[in-house]
Amino acid sequence: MEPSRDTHATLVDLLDRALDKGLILNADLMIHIAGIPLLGVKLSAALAGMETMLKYGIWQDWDEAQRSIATEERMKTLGLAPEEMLHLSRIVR
Amino acid sequence: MEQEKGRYLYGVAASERATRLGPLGIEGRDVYTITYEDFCAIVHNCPNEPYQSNDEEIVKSWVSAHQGVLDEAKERFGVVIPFGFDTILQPGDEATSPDQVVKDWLKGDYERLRSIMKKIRDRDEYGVQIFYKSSLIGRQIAEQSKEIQKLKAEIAMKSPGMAYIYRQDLEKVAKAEMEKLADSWFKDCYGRIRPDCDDIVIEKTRKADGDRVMLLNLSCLVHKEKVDSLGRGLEEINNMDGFSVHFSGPWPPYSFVARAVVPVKGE
Repeated sequence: MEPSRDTHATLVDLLDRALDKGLILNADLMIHIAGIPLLGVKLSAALAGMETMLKYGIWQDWDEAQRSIATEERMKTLGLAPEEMLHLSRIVR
Repeated sequence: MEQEKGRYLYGVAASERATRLGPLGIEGRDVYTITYEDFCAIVHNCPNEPYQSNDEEIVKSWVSAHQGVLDEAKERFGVVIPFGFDTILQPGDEATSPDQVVKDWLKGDYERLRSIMKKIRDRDEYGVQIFYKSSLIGRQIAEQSKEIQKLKAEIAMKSPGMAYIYRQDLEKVAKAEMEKLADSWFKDCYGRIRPDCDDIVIEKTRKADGDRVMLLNLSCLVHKEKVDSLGRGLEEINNMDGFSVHFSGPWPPYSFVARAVVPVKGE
């Protein structure tokens, strides 16, 4: 059986990967929107391909994963403890 | 263009020569490389703004262009560490040029990039999804499970009221049996695939169409010499009654580069 990349079905495979994964930059190097690295607000504020994501059912996992990474990054950048982040993450949400 | 201080990042490759890849980028942007020692970042210049659109077709065309650049880079440089879509690096202050920020980042992450490069050299990512027909699982457990056969026989002899209660038991047992059977299929399929992969990420399964149920959703990092063997293994699964396999790739190793790069303080 040969792998394929051409069919409609593989578009989902590409979106799953290119939108959800890949190398991650340090948050302080990323472009920021209202002080939050793009990483964390990619969906809600930036990429309004949201409908695409919802359609393919990958919105939620993606959003949560990106947010948790962004939160970790911000904690490091700001030198905050996890409980201090609660407030911040509430604002982000 | 002076005001374009952002650098859209496609990936990192092993090459010490500054290269122009041409207007292949998102919206036809000129793609080029910024080098540090023997690594280069594949970029295009853009404003400090993310790409965003409500139009699904536009988003798809951007993502396809992102992938197209990575394909071309792989062709030219051999190994490429992919970034996810919409990764844009911005200079922290006015004094530092955007290209310098990219160089500084390459320098800072050099060792980590090197170790990722080593891990993915001669390897690609493949998506493997295995489905079974839901009617199959019902049939199989009805045939195989003694407990279900017994319950069914008892139901046939009971009064309608009692049969109702028994039927509820039957449903519970059937559900447990289904899970057990799916679990054994999962283990069997995973066991056949695992030896051909250097690394595997088990992804969440998704809803499938019609009668199909997704049993297994994997991202596999596979050495180029193992791809045929993996294909043969999947062919066997695909030929099993009621099973089907979706095998996609080769992809850049999107699923195998992220974790290792998130810097951890104190490491």
